[in-house]
Amino acid sequence: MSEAKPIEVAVVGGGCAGISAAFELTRPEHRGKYHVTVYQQGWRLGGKGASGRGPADRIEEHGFHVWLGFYENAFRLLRECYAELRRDPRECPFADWRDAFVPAPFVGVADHSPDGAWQSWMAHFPPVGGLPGDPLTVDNPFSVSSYLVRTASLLRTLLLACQARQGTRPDPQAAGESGSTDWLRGEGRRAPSASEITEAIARLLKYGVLATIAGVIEAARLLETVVGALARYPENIVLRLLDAIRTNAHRQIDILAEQDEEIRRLWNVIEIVLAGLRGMIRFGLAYDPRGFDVIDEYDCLEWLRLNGASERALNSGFVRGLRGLAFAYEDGDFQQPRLAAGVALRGTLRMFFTYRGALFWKMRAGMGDVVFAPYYEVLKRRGVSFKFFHRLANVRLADATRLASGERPYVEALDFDVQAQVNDGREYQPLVEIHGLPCWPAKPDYGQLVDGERLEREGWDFESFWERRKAGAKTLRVVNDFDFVVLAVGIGAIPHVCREIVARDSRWRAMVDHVKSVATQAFQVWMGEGMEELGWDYPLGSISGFTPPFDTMADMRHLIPQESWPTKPRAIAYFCGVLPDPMTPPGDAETDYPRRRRDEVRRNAIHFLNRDIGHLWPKARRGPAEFRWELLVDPAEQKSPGRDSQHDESRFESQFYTANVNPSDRYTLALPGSARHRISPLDNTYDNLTIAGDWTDCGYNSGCVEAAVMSGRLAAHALSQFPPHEDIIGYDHP
Amino acid sequence: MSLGERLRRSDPVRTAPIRTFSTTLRRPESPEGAEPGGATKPPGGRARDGSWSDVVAEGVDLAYRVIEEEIRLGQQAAEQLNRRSYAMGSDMVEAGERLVRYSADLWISWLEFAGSLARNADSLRNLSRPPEPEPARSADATAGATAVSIAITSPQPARVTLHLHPTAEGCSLAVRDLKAGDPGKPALTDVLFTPGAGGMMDLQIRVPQEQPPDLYAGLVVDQRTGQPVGTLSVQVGE
Repeated sequence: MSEAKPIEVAVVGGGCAGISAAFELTRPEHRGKYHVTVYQQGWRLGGKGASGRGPADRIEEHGFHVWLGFYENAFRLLRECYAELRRDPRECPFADWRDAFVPAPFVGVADHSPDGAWQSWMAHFPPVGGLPGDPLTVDNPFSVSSYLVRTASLLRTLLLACQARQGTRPDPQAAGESGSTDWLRGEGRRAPSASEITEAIARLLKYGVLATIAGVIEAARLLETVVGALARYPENIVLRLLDAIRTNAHRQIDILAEQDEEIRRLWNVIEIVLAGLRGMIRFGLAYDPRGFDVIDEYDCLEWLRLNGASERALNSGFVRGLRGLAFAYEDGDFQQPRLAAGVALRGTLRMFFTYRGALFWKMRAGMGDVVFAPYYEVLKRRGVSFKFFHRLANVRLADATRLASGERPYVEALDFDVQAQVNDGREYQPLVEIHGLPCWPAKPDYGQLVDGERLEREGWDFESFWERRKAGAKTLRVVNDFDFVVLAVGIGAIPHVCREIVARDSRWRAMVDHVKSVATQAFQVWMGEGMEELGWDYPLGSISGFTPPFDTMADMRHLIPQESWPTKPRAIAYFCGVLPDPMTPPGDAETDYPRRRRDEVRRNAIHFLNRDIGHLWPKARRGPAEFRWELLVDPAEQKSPGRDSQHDESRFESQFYTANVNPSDRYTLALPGSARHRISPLDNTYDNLTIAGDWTDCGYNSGCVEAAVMSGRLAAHALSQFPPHEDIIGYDHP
Repeated sequence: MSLGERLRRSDPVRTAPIRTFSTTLRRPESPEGAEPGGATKPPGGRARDGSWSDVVAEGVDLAYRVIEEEIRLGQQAAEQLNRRSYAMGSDMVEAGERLVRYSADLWISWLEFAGSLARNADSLRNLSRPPEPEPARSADATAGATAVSIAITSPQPARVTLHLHPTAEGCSLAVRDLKAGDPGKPALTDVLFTPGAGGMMDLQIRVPQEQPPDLYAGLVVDQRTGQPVGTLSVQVGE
């Protein structure tokens, strides 16, 4: 550490954003310029990504967390963290980041078949070169031009799949006879002129080439070339080609789709791809200085509809699946799917076209164990202080009348509720070791707390917003206790902890009014039969777009070795979805609210398992509407084998379920028209405060780990000018 | 508390991502095979590579790529002109549009080259830089910027944002129609650059009474070469 007094930074909130900011600010290269203290409510880091080890050391999460293969910032920082940690592989099972993640290439959607039943449609996404977080070697993978080419290429692949399904092979002469696109092949391949394109389209139509799927594929090949050099062609030529493809594909494939379920699904995707391409060109996204933001006022369904997508395609499993991954339902209402079109487009393109290694990466243990325990250990080594059981009560601004002329408003004090005191004033030790891996427990270690036995007996819920009991209070003052603040709580908490700022500042009011969040619900089941025995054939597969309220399901069998069951379960599955908000928001005094919502989740889950799960796991039910409850593995039963066993739905009580209703636990939405109300971590209105979280204007304005990490890095940049904008991968993106 | 005791954040160079020109203004990533997460070293650390040979090699490589691309584009342009393709089935407006877009490709190549020179200069500076925080560089740095006087006539509230690349200096500027995000809305067409006094450019914008509120944006180009040198946007209404 340098001899000069370090700059004191208070990071409030130990989720992905806050921890990323702390990691950046304490890099050794800063030479101790910043001393960071992380203030955390309750006993564990992680925010929405917190996990805990419960009975039998089972992993209990807020929901199903998956890291997408394009989370470049999140992976990059975590890889650095593991490298710095230098764990001994002989002692710790996750010494390297690669030990901690497993590729999950099977991703699927659930879709209705014509007879109304649910069917799962799984796709295997092939591995792509490199690993997430590797240095980028291409100039810029994020140009609209490259996205257009990849999308057009996908279109051709999908059409080829339709053709293969139809049982015909491409006819090399089909288009060749017309001489329409000879310049696309062979060594003389080159970008055609606009007039050549016009002539080629005319020939394709004139010779009736487009009357076959092979001809449509040929036209798609032409499209690929055209969008790769979009600047050279008038917009109307490209649109004309697209429309010719759409019209003729419609004629060819619609008939086949009526008879073939697989082709019907492919056709839905083709329609969405065509609408996306058409929209990108029609709305001038390749040239607009606002990039994809320009369409953020539209809902993505509305925008696709404007560009030719049919209602059938918009209601397909493919679209619902993407929407489900983003919890994109306003107020948690499945009848109100809403997602800003630009955010959706950016996310979809990045997800499918810029992933590395695998499309999805699953963690081999809890997110807390894989992500936040390593960060905690590294940050401790770097000298970061952690203050657990500190709940932020108020961000207090300096009195406006005391500001000097030209002086900006600033944070004068931070008021905290101290939820519990640690014995003898010691530092709370939050981790436990399970099979050599440092983990977070599902409950605090009451033994370390003053009056811990009483707190446990009285059921103090340290993570509940409605829990008002506290052991004390603390006020931090600027200059004395901190120089800068990184406010890294969830958006739902902002109106409660930033009352003064929201009251004074119209931008903050607009932000809390428009950047909405949604409650979520989740449950996990441990079962005594393997997934294949239940009728599920996709190892580690995840499926989305299934029936509400649990529209996402993930096979998590890979976690079994990490838990400590006397008799190991043979399957683990996670389910999650949105949880509708009540008509009237709960009051601050409704201490019973979390329990009531949790009861609701239990009822939902039981109903879901009885009624719906049979569509995915046909052998998990004994009748049309009864789940085989004896499948569930009860940890208490394993602990005490002589215990009376229940084999009815009451057995579900032994599983894990949660209602994520705390303001800070709510998932951040990207509603149409909301992006312009987000505030950047770089904003300097309050010159000793920056914000961090997936709710900020962080370049990738979507609720996810990657956005949170990007935001945390931006917050660090706001204080230290590091990392440079250019190193925040995907910040500068169309 | 005296004011001097409190620390303040410095003003950010920018507060929003660059949604356009991002291809041209990105700094290069660490070389392949670098340490995972091998981002640019923080203040106090050495430059990415720190070797003269790497910097020179990269510059030469980029330069060759630009030159090759230019040759290729030039061949295509010549080929197209020889075939009189511009006159075939298209009017002069379309030809103009093609020219502007065609030149946009060329411009990207040139900007990439210019960007590489800037990056390399930066890398060279880093070799001897003291370990102080490096202020982030702006994508729309104003060095060498052209002075523009803006006059807007609008019956509705309107806000004008003009981003000019430094290479716009000395150019005779022209602007294309400003289009709304919604293709159904009419473009803003009455936008004109004219030479002003003292080397300054005058920009006149007239917003018609019936213009629907929206953000209208378009490219600013060098009139002589057709190369894009910036962007202009006008927020009408709200």
